Amino acid sequence: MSDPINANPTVLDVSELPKRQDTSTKNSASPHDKLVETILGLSLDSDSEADEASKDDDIDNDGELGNKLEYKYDDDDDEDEDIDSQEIFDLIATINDPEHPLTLAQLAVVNLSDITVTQGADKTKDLSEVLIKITPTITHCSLATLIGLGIRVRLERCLPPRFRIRILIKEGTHQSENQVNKQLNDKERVAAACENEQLLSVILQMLANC
Amino acid sequence: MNLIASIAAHKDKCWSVASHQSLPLLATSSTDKTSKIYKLLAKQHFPQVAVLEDAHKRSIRSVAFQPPVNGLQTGEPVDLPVVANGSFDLNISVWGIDEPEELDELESDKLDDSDDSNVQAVKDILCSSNNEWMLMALIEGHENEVKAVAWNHTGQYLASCSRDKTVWIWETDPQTLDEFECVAVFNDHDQDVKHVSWCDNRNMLALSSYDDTIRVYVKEDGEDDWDCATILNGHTGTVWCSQFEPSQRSDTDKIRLVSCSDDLSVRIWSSSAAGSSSSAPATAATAERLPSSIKHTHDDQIWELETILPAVHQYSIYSVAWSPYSGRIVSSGADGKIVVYKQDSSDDRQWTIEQVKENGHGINEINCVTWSILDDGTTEVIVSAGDDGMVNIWNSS
Amino acid sequence: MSEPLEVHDPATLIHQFIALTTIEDGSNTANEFTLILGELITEGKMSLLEFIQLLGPTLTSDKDSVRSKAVHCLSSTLTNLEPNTATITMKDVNVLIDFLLSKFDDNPSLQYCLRLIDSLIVSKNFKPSANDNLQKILQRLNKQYYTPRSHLAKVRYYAFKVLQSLLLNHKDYITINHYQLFTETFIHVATGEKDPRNLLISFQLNSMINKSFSQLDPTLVEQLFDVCFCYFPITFTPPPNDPYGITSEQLKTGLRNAIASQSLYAKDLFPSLFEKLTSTNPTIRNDVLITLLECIESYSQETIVQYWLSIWNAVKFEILHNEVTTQLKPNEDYLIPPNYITQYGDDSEEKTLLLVLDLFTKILDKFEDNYDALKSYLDIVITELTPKLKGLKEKSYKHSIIILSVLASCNESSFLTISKFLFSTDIWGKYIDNETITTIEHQNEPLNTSKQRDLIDSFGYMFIAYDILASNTNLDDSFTQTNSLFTHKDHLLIFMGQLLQSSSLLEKTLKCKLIQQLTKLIRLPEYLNPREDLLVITYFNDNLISTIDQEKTSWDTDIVLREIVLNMKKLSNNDVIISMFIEQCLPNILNHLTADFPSYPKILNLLSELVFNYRMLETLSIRLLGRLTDASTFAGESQFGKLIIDTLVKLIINSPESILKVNFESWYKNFIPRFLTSIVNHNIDSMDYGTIEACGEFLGLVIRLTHKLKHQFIINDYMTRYHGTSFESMNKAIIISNRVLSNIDKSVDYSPDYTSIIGLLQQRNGDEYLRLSYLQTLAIIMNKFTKGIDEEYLEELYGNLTLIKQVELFAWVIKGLVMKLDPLGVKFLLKLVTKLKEESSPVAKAFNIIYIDLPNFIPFHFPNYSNGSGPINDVRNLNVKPLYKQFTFEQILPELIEGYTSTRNTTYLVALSLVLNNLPSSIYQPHLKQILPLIMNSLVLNSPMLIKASLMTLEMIIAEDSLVMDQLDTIVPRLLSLSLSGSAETRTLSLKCIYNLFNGFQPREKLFKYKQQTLTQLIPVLDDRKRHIRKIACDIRQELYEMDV
Repeated sequence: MSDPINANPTVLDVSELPKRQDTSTKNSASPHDKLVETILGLSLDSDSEADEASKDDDIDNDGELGNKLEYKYDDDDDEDEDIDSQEIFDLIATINDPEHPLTLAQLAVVNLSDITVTQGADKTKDLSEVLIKITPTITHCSLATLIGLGIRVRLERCLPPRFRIRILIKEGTHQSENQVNKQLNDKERVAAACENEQLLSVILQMLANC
Repeated sequence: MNLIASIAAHKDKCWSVASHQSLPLLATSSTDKTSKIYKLLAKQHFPQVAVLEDAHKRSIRSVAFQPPVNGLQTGEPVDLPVVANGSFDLNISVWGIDEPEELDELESDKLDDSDDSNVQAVKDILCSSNNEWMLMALIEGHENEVKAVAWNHTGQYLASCSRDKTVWIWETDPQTLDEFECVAVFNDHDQDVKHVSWCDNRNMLALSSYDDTIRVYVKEDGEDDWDCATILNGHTGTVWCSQFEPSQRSDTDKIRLVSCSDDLSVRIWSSSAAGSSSSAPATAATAERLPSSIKHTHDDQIWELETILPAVHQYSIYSVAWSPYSGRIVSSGADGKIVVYKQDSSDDRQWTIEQVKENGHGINEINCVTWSILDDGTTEVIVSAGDDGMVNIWNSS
Repeated sequence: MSEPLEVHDPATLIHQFIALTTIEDGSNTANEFTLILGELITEGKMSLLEFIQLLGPTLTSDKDSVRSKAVHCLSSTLTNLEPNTATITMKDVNVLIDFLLSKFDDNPSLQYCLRLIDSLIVSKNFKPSANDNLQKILQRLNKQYYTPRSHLAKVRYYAFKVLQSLLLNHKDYITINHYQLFTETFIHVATGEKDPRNLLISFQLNSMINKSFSQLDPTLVEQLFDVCFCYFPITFTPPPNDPYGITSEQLKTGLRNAIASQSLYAKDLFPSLFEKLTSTNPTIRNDVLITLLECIESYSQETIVQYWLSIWNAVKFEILHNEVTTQLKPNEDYLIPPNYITQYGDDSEEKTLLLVLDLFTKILDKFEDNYDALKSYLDIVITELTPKLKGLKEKSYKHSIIILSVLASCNESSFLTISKFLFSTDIWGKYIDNETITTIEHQNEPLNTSKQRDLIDSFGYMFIAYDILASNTNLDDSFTQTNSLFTHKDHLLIFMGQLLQSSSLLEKTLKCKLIQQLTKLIRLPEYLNPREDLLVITYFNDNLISTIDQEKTSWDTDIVLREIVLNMKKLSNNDVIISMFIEQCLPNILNHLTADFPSYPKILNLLSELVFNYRMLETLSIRLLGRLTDASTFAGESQFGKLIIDTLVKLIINSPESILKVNFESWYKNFIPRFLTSIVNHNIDSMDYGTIEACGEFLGLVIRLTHKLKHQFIINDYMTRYHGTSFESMNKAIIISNRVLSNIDKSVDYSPDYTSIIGLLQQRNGDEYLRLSYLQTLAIIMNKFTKGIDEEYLEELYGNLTLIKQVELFAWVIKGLVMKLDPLGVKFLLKLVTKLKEESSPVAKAFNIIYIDLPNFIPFHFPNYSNGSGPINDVRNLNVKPLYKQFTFEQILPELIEGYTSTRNTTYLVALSLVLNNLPSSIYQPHLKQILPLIMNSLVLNSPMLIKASLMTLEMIIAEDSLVMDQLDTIVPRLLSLSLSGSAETRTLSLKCIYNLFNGFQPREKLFKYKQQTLTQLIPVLDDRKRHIRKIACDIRQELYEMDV
């Protein structure tokens, strides 16, 4: 990149960026609870019954002895952790800006509030959609397209194919909003761009910290 | 609509699929830089006939069969199958086979057996996987990715369009394919030209573009230059694909064109092709004798939006096809739906949705649909190509 | 050339020497000759006269080459002589000097003449006055006889050497008789010199002259000045193969010393330096400033008195109009970084700034004993800066304040003056004096937040100044009581206090600055009195509490709170403050420590952060233990009690060594009884096992920290009061007892009857955990409280291993024994392996019991304790042979492998993987070749437990060994399929393996062929139900996309 178009952007401190408030007690479970589980895992006695029990409701066809050691982790009855906007944010927050030594999140190019995830009812049939509105650092930022492309590539690599990704320039933040939007969401152009070495190497840089 | 077969054709996105007009052949192309040819057997088993690879350095975006010029009757020279590939690496490759010896053997022991069986035999030979497919030509010229290629009805012109906003017409000898000479370049579009398709009985072609328009070009027989017959405005998004109504369908003079777009609409345009322009090749001779003054008859072609087909799709519609057999239209796109539309017998401006197949390729996008006939010559099928690299074959009747 | 060495005939030697075609200095053969000649002379085998006679004809030969070589021979022969040998008499010296001086016109020989003269000068028989040697030499080196430009650098070098030797050896004589002549000669010799090596001497001589000769006449001084200053500024890059390796830094310093050596230079120097200051090249500007710095330091006070104003005028712009705002922080302990000269590059603008500041202080230092000069200097500075200080918005405000602070930090009187000025009404007074605060002039410049920040910063610089001053000089009361900083103390405190209290929660940076500066105030010596300290602490307290109370989940990361914690740490060595903090803040924080306060875990973290010394630890522990004694703490589902104990444990484990050193005896005495009574005797039934284990760990820690000598008492005391002497019925307290038994020193006298435990374990009991705890007790006893167990008994146990119960029992017994490598234990361990023959025997799982590391069976060590595992208070609690795992593993591994290969019985695989999971990889590293195939086998079996175990091993193998590379064709597909099916843990583990595989050190080109396959097969994993699993899949794919060969 030649000399930056926007030399001094306002920068968010990493600590200010939105994070997932981890409520699940599993992670914060005290070492002692873990210990208790491990010790219980050592019991040989009463295996016999336990195995009988496990045999039926056993998706991963637990073999003998297995289930006790699984005890600690067997979470396959927990609720699903759906892909939400925070997860999307985390995926793209660390993308480097092509001209500043900063991430898109630090530059507030991507913001949690501008990410909308619409989940299809049935993962196997229904389509889901991610809608991201990006805010270029300045209204004539010639790199808006590149940034958008970087985001799209990152997401196409990380999201299951049931997702349709729409990347738009946030209203009124760029002179040629529509052009950029049209390009960013033209499947064919994106695909072609991803086979262009120069572009690809720039994107590689952008995704270096992902 | 039920799935007859699902061919795991490619390791990556399958961009396009085409079927041969007279032979039970299917050609596919993909991001994995290969193009493949399959045989459509009614016994619902679809053997791979050939893999066309190592010609392109990037995705092969589009594939097209050269239409047959002569019949398949022995005696006269038999049309050998020919395929053209258009790739993001800016090049176009043309593939074909040598005439198989088996044909001569047919000649010899032809005796009194009926043509049908004979034709069948020829077909079998031409579709056999023993034939070695060879790269006949590699055509260079475009400055950006080639987005689509298409042959005209005589197999003498190959049209290619690209992100460089231009469309090139390459002329060749349909039999020998010896050289491809660029005879015309259209650069009237302000943006990528996404797709090109020919009318099946005249030198008229439709160009669909990223600039939301479709342009129709015509070259009158005997003329050298191509003229822009019309610009179809109306779509409010990229026009991904368009196709003329197959000629054997339209008893009228009317030429019709179906197009699909990013704006989620499928539209039918028609030209009340007044005057001689509508005349089939037979009458072309008359046109020949007319003074040139009144010749550019396509100038008074009036194109208009005939109808908009009932909306079904939720995401970009990438592909639309008009069946030469049943006259139905099929469309498909990013939402993975395959939609079949039927024209009312009463009012030809009235179309109804005959059937909708959800998740044609699971949750993946569908890039291309086309109509085809199995080798039993009767079963009409829809063939779809998806991002999952699969090629699905659907019984649509 | 060994031949001449035998011949000791001088004539021959001389001729051979002259015969040598070329003589580079120190060419060995040449040296050898001259050395031998030298010896001959010293040994008196040949007189100097004879030597010269022998040389005679050649010395006068008209062939240049011959003549010069002759002189060379003479010169190096004599130079090689011991300087103090009497062999060369005074007379000889005089003769030689005359002879040599006479040869000055003989260019080829000159170099050797000078060399010899130089060495003669240092010889003890050289008398400067005798035969006017010294004067003659000087005259010869002067105009009419010696023309530097016509000689090579090498020759000129010896001319300098001669002068140097003269001045070094005969300084006084010269000073008295010939300083004028010497100086002239030097100027003549030095003029137009270009060679770096010679310049170094030239600069030295220059400063030596200036230092030695007091009454040089002005014209000479001027010439001296020209002969050095003409080289300024030196930009010299040493040639690639410079034999003398002279650096540009040497030259620069040499020149600077020369320039700084003569106050009289000032007249010409300063103007030209100032003129060079206008250079746009920062390197030059910095060079100028450093030179100025040295001059100011070494020039006489009068000179500086005369020139300081022009200096000030010349350099002040460097700082006042400098674009770069300095990095100087108002919350450091210094104003000018101690070693800034070296730490910043020569072209650093920041350095320029600091140099100027330094310069100002140097001027001030010069005036320390000259009150008038000092006064007028400060007056000018103040008057010139005043306009810039009128309003905070002035761009140069900050820099002006810094200048003043720097000056203030030099000595008391300047501090008095400057602080008086700064606190005057129109500078700071108007903001802080309540009297003037309302007067009009203040209204026209109300303080907004940003200005408030600047103001607080500017205070900061003065505080630092005071601090520096205090640390360099011991201030007397008259000063400490009278300086304006002190007299405005109340205003400051109130002003800053009000700001801190009143400013809204949003103005965090302002608050942080206030906290820093208030902390600074506390740390200033002789400044705040305890009452005021307390005031500040209450400010902190209020902010701390209000931050906690605001309804933010992330209050613990609030920067204001962080700032307070940080600054409290700074104050942690101040006992008064700490106790204030303990009285003021701690209770308020603890008030939030209630189970119903949503973020009480964060409170606990905060508390543990605040432990900077033993007093805090002790106090906090008492308070926390207090909580434990009331039953409500453990009531209900809440983790409250457990978290408190965890914190206690963390507090101790993470405490620095210094704290751990403290004797914890009092602990056991004071809190433990209360603690145990409340736990064991009252709450234990309402507590879950995790909590009880936590309590146990805490108790164990305290025991470990109590001195060995107390342990006997502790065990007796504990057993009688809380446990009871025998094991007649199962009781939750056993969990705590285990910790006691495990942590108590093994030397204590305690021999329980383990058979009763075994008895106890025979009777079926519902509670799994209790049974397992008693099994642990058994193992502990086996390990440290039995004199040894008799073989028959073990045989008996081993005999009826058909019962699962027995296997379990047996395993734990063996565990206890194997840890100390008891021969019997090892023997029966091996016998246990043979039991694996029986399909699906529970024996396999026994190996997990034997090898697993449980807290009760690890010799405990403190992370922060310097000698990691070293016993504290020489407590040795368990009998653990360091290599017991390796030793036994090496023995059972062959058996396991053999067993499996012969029987194909999965029990062997299970046993193996269970063992492996409990071993450090270093132990099985050597055996990977045999192990890997078995791992691969287990991977395809359908036992999740087996798969898990194998994956864990595989992960380690992949990370450390390229063995797997040959197995990729099997591993990759298997891992991929596992990452789609299987329990979340299996999925995670297999993905981790894949990740390490592609991300690790493994050769990429081999892996490349799996790239596409892996990419495609991971797509479904991108939709896994578990977020962390999706994450790994993303990471792997990212890796793969970047992968290329």
